[in-house]
Amino acid sequence: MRNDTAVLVKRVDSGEDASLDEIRDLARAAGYDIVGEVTQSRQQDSAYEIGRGKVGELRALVERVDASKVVFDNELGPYQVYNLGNEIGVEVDDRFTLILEIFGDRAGSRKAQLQVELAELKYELPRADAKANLANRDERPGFMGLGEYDEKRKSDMEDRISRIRDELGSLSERDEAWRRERRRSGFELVALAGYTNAGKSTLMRSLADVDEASNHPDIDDTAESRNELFTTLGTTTRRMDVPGRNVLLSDTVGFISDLPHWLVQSFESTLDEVYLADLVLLVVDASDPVEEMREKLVTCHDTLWERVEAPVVTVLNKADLLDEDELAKRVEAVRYLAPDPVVVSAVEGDSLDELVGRVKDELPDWERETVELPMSDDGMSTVSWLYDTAEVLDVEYGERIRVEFKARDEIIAKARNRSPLETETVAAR
Amino acid sequence: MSIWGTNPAAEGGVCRLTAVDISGRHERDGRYLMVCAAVGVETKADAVDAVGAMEFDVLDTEREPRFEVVVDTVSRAVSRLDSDATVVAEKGEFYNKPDWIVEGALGTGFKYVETIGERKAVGVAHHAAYAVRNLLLRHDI
Repeated sequence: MRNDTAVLVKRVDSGEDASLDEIRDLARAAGYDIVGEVTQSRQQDSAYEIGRGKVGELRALVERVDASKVVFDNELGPYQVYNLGNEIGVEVDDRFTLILEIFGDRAGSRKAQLQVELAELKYELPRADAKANLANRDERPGFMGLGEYDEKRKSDMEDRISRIRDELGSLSERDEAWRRERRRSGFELVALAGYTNAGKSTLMRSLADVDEASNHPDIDDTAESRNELFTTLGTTTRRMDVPGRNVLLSDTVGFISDLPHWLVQSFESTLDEVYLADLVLLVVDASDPVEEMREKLVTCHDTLWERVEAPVVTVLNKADLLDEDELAKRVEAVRYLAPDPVVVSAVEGDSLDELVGRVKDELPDWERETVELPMSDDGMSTVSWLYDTAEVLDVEYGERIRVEFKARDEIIAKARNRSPLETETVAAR
Repeated sequence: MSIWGTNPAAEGGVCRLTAVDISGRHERDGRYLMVCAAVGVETKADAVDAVGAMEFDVLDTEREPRFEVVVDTVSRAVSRLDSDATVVAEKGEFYNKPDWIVEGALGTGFKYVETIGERKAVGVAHHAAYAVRNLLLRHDI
């Protein structure tokens, strides 16, 4: 992690919130020491984003505090970055390059690295023409490697994007095959989703079955839980103890507001873990101020809506930081977005049993089935397999083995194939 | 009763809404063929629970649509539904104007999309408006 100093800048239209809280957390997560902050409420300036007078103030501040970088909490165009770098004399980043910087630092797996590179290229591509044009002038701070920009650079970027997409496509197919195999093995997939720093990884640790985790080949132990943004960039999967069900719980990248479509799309392969789950637990930091909590929930719904088909259960986490009255106010304030939330504290372990019960209730119904198996080694092996993959309700041993159980469709189909006799199915619930 | 644990919503958290979407706000062959779909829906926070009646309004004009024109088109489609449900739309539909301005102009309850259910409902309206516009263009109506 770097040890550079940064000045934060944000321009808002009149009447908008000029809070720097989130960009401050992002800059810290990227390893910057924040040495100054500037906000301005005015219309956007096409050349500098902020007003010309403010640029002068910013330059003076940067010189006084000896900052090595300026980070805008706005999206900047290439000419704005060029002009600002020219005037201020240090490198200038915007919100998205800062996020990409954090992603780049934390991308551990091949998939995460490819997704970050794809996002960087998608960010750069529309700027390539402008940068090639600017490269003909001279190099300026904030335009590292500007001299490389020429027409060939743009086609190289397009080729690289195409190759990354192919590789990500292969990785997605592999992931889909894993999901299919897990489901065939009787597992149901529950995904944690939510705004960054909502406490997903802490909840993961609290809900995961640690003993089982160490024995399962699909499970790794990379879940992190720190009070920082984007601590989880890849996907971590662990077994979750839900009575009568075999559940795998996945934790993945957090959401953040105002992300452009191309950036979210770059992480589609990781987000598939959420989109293709059987149930989504949408984790919300209940200790946030009400309006912030509401806005973060809207961002989460915006990120999820196009592809998620599974039921979404909202989990109001960090409830231990509030008293009962304040909690009740929060529940009511977000009732429209989260009509039926579960209030928990992952850190204290409070109400996690209720959450587990809710997971069981919301997962797709299992069917009830009865099979008759031959009294043989194969028959006994099938009984053992049913104990692993289904909820066995009753077993009678006679000339044949009669097993009554509840399971998902794939398991029932497999059990029927192993049973030479007719079977009967009734709805489990 | 403690607020911890589960907190079930009254009436299952189902909301009755009118989802609207306009297809064809772009110029084609010197004209704008705009189709507005208004769809009666029941939504939950995470899904569309039911889709009811659909009504449409068509505006064929050579003039680039402005806010007032969009409001009139939406109003006509919504009025045919004969519903007092809150109208919901994507933010771009009304040129990102604040919701209270749109509400005043429409003269009915209005909000921009927030939940997954609302966004999916507007998606339904979008498909309906798009399909009707294609039908009109294909048959040169």
